[in-house]
Amino acid sequence: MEQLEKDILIKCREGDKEAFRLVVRQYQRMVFSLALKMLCDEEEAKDTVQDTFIRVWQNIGEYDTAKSFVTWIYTIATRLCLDRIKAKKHTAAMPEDVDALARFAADTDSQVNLENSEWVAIVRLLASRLSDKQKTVFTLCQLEGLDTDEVQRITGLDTTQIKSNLYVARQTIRKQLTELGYE
Amino acid sequence: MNNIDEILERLKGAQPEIDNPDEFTDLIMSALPDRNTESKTPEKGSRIVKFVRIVLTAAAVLLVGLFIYTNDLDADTPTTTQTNYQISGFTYGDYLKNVYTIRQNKASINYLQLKKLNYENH
Repeated sequence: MEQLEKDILIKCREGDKEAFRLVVRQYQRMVFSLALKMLCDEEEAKDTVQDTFIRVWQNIGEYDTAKSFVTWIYTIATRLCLDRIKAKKHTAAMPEDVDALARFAADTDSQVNLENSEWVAIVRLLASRLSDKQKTVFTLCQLEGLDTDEVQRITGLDTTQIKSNLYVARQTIRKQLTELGYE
Repeated sequence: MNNIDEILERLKGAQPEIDNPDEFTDLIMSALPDRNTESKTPEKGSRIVKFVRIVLTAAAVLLVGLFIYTNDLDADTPTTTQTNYQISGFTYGDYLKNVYTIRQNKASINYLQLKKLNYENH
């Protein structure tokens, strides 16, 4: 962790809201990305981002500076997302989700420029047959690009569980996309 | 691009964007609770709880003390309960004693005499 970030976190612990604003500005997109992919609902994702930062603000005194701050935020956000997933009904894929994936697959631009609604459609289609655990591991490892150690610290799952859940998730998605004509 | 691995690889690490990031930051900041005022409220509550706890403890100790004290007083004055089985005008013991004495003396007494004796005692 950089010294500047440490100083900011110390100020946040002392109750400095302006210092915390910098933290929010820095990490809000990261949390929003995770929440949108986990929940497949933009409004719920925004609410989760808000809840996450409220939790961070309230519990920043308990944060161990020896550990990664990003991992700590991810842990809070993931738990809040899972709480919301458990509370709401299963989100099934919509017919238009297939079209959104087709448009994304047809796009040759290396830069990913997706609207939030397109993100929702594609992830909803990919994750529609996954369990909560598989979805969490797939989102963190595959979509967010985190390494296994970090996912282990966030989810509390061991390496074997992460690898097996990720394998099953990939196989399920592969099977689903094969049925839709992808190779 | 119909390759599944390619699709997944392109999605990896890409992040959706927040429409109005500054506005969203302001929204989050406005929702933050005030930590200072929050910490004062439970402290005030805990003071009242502490006071009530002390008063209740003192009252409990007093009650227990009073209970022990009154029990000790009762122990000093022994309670003697005497039951009077005697019925006025009739002494059961004397009657039986008379019958016994008569039988002991082997007196030649018949049933009528015994009955008479019985009436006399009543």
